[in-house]
Amino acid sequence: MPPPSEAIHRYQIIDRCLTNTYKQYPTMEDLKHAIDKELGTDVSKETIQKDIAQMKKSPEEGGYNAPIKFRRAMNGYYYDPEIDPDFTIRKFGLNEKSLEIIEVAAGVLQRFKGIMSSDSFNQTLNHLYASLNIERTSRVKESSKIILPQDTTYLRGMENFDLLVNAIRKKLPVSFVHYSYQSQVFKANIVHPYLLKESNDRWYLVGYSEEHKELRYFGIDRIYDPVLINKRFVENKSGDLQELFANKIGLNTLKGRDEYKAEKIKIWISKTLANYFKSMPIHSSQEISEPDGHGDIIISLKLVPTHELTSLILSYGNNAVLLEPKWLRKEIEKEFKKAAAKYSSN
Amino acid sequence: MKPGKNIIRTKEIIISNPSHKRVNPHIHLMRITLTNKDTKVDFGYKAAEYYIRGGWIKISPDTFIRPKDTQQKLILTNASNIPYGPEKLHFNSTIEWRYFSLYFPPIPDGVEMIDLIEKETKGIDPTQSNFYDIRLNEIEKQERLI
Repeated sequence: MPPPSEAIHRYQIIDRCLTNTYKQYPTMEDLKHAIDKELGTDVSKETIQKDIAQMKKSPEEGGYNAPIKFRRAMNGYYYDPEIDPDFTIRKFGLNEKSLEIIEVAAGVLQRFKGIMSSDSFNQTLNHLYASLNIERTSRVKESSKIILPQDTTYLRGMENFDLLVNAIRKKLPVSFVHYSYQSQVFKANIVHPYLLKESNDRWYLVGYSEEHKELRYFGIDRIYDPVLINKRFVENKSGDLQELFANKIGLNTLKGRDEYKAEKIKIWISKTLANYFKSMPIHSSQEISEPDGHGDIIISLKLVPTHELTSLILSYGNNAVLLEPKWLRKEIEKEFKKAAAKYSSN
Repeated sequence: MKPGKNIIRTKEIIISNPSHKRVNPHIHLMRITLTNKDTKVDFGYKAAEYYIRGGWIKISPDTFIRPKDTQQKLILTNASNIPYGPEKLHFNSTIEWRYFSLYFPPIPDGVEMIDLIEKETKGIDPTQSNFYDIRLNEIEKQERLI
């Protein structure tokens, strides 16, 4: 079990005292004074002695192998330079276990490889390994074998990801040319960006559009030549964006529906797919009922109707039937009829 | 002033959707970036419905910018995402599009209107990418962060 964060703080203060070349051999009183001053506590000398004992333990035991000695003549503590002339626990900012966890996370971040943000992350990790004198390459290879995220870096527009992240962080408006797949129209626009949202492996820039004078989403694969501009930033006045997306599957609200109003959705699911929906709900609002006990289920959801929801239902073919709302059921029925007609004619 | 010389701009300026007159309905002039180094003009092209598989595009290397009511010619210096004629970029279908940029020498500060001419024509020729009366003195000028 790792030491509590309060103890780690004390270790760090003791370490700073022991590596302070301007005041060597700090006494127990010096250590107590430093800890109390920084943490606003009244730490006992017994606790400090226990901390020193813990720091001397091996990393497996939650310590740092710290070569702490006591010099009677100076009545003070020091790191024994004969064991390690440059010792500091700062080298042990992370232990082996922590590195393993970070490497797994880095594996997930491989989906962003080639994007500057993740390059910076990689560089930071490389520096960390270098400071610990550990060879990283073999670990990266091991991690890449066990984590295989969806690779979306080849998508058009991902090269602008870092610029857009910076624009959001620094609250800078972005000028770009946008091509709408739906209306097949180009527009130069200035957007005040708030966040990047992923939906179905596509990334969208969410922000206030000067062209539309409202909050809009722009697929980053349709954004050309974004540049940052020096202009007063328009803050988000469209409410909590996390909440806005919490009630949606995907982003694109169906035409004529309220962007913020979740509706009751009921879908019949065949027993062939029932277990998939039970084990992995399609949304956090999902509730399941099993009306006949033969395996078919009905899932109930509270969602803003989106194109992505419609596509999801259509993708399950005759194994999923939308029961409510009726207006959307009719739309889906029309789609299936059109599809059936195409299958019949070709 | 000799075109392209002695341009002193303290800022890079972006003009989005400048008003203009055009003759080719498929090419859209989207944005102009004015700098001390060059003038960048961004375009969007939607493949034509009436050509088989959307037809093709190219740009004449003789394309130029002309400050309004002058004889000055700022000749195209570079093109990005579109080939120089006679080479052509052929589309595969009528639903395709192309975003491309043309680069010219810097426009002297103070010029308020320009023409962008691919080929001088007598009368209107919709096959040419000519744009007239492009306004640079719009309110919506933005300073680019470098």
